[in-house]
Amino acid sequence: MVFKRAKIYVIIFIGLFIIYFTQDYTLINIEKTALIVTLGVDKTENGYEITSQIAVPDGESTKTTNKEAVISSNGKTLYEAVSSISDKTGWYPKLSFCNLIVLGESLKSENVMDVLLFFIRSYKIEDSAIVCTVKGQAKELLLSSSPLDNISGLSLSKIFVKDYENASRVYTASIKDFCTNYYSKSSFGYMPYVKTIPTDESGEGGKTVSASTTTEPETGAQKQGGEQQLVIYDASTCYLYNKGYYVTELTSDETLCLSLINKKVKEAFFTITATDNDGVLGEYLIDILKSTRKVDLKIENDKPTLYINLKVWARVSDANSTESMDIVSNLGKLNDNMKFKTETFITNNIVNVIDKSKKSGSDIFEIKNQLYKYHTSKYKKLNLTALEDLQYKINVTCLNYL
Amino acid sequence: MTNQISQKQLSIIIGAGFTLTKIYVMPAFLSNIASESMWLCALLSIILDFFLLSIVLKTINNVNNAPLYDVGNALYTAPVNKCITLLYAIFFMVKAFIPIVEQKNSIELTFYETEPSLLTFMPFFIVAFYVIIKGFKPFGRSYEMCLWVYLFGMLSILLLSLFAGDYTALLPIIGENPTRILTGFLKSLIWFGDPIYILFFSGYISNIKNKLKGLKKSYLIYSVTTISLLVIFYAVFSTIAPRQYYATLKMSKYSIALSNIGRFDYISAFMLAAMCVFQTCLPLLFANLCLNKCFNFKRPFVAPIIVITLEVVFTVLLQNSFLTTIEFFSNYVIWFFIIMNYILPFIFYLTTRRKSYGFQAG
Repeated sequence: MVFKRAKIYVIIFIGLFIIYFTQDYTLINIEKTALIVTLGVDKTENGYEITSQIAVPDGESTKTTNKEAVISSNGKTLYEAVSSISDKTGWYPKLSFCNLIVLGESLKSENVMDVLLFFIRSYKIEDSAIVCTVKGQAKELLLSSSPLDNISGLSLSKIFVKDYENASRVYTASIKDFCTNYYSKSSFGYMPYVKTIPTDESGEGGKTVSASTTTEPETGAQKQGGEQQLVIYDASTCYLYNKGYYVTELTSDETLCLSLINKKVKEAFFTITATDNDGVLGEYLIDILKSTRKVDLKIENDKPTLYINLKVWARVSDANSTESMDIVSNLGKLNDNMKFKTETFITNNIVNVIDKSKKSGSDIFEIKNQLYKYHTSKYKKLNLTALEDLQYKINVTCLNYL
Repeated sequence: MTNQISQKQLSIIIGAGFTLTKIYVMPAFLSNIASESMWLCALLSIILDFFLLSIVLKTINNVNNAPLYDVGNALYTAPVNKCITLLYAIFFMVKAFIPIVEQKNSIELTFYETEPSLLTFMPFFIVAFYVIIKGFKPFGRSYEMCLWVYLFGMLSILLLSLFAGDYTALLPIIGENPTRILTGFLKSLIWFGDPIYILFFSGYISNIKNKLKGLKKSYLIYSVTTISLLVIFYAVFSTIAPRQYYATLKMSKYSIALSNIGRFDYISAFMLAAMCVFQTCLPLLFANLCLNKCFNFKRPFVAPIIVITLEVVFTVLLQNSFLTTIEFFSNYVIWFFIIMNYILPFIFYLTTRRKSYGFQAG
């Protein structure tokens, strides 16, 4: 009896061993896997064209480097376009390593949520991926070559620094952020707008993008004879959205000042024109090293009033003139005129952002959200005309960072 | 009696285990009903469960920690007692179904890149079979050993997510439509009523101290952990929270620390998933106990085979329509849950309170 039971245990063990330790029933060979690191989306007449920048695990190489490759595919929906990657190449696309979604300018007139919803519908895609829009085609940008990294998507990712709380010039948004804001009462959105800036250098050898899996047309950044001009990227401006549609663009300085209000900025630079202690007019690079902000929405005379109190600690980092030893030895201490000009610069830009928000309907200051959260009883009454009726009081104080 | 669980182990089951069944689908389910007030629905259920726990502890003290089936035989006629026990066996099997499929889906979505085969999850049932056969004592010890695993997993997920959320998303606290809080409270009761397990431990608890009052402290820890988890969950996901099924284990991924160091939060998620195995086995243990008491099987593995087979069949048949099943449970089966979790234990408490039967301790 004992022997019979032991035999049954052995048979069960062998059966389970074969099923589970071979793993043949569930896994896909890694060499057949396309790890998509960046995904570009462009609108076409028949739907969408996606451009996937993939890192191909190379089983033959002893080094752990990845070949770079760009694959384009089309589909009526985004899902169809992504699925067709495996039909075309035999590679199984995996989006869980995708950290950047690049939207082409062709989507400017579309509701971007049509695209972004794909990423929160599926459980297999990380919604923490950063989303941005680019000048021209997303495909063009992903085919460009940068001196920063072999894979253009990864070099672009370097701009969207991970610790984005401290990066004031780039107003980064993840898919989750965009979708959360879209479904909020304010139904707004923002994302960085990326422009390519050509450099004087050309890509050679390994730097040149190999679009071997598709017959790609020569892009604008490509030179004749296979050489490609290297580019760098600028993402200091920002697109604003209302109910998923693009409505307006913020300039670089406006984006910076929006960061000052909404983020805990630890380092920000901008230039002002002011007079020094001797009364000489000059250009000064102001470095904001610390800021505190308080944004309150109050109801005054049945109109929403936004109170912005901003305190910044700054120093002069550089100037286009020779400074007296007094200024240099005081670690870039700002005089009263510089402080005034700094405050004016920030105030003016904030006013510009508010005006753009009011005109475009993009509720970037979340007035409707705040009405709902803090003035729930008045939300229904004030909600519809909240932006038009918005009044604001801005108080910026500049202090020396010593 | 060798098949006994200690009061300390019971405390761990309450303090750690009760939270584990509420981290997968329930947060998104409640967000869908009550949006920013979702945590209030859970708070109401936790308060209700506290009363249930008080009743359960009083009942155990009333019956002098005697086995429940023996108490039933003394209080009611044998057929009635058998019927109630059988009903509880069915109830525990139904109650186990939701955490089992939640566990399955969560593992598949968290740890696999592609949709894995159903076979991937089948070892769970082998483990569950083993746990059921071994009984309460090894179960309690396993829980005790895993406490540190749970603490590390839960604390790291909570702390990493703590600063990734916008807590103003929880405003207004009650919102425009307070009835949705009551709807959420009622429908979410399929995940609550866990103190009923403590009642079924009656007769198998060793060294009772201070009339089991220490268990209430564990319940407080469970309450704080669960509410914190729900609050952080909604602060992190806010308006898209209704879509975030099984996201609790992964909600720490938005922490800036992870973007620099790497996704070590998967270790925490794995730890919690491992702990969930034991918690998911708990109702199966009692289903086995009830079946054995009811039919008095001579061989020890007959009842576990029945329980596990039924769960495997349920899982295979309903795995693809899980959310529809949840909806069905929360709309219709909920009344069965309310009767078995709250009404019958209350009646049982009243009948044991009325007279002193002089029950013999287990």
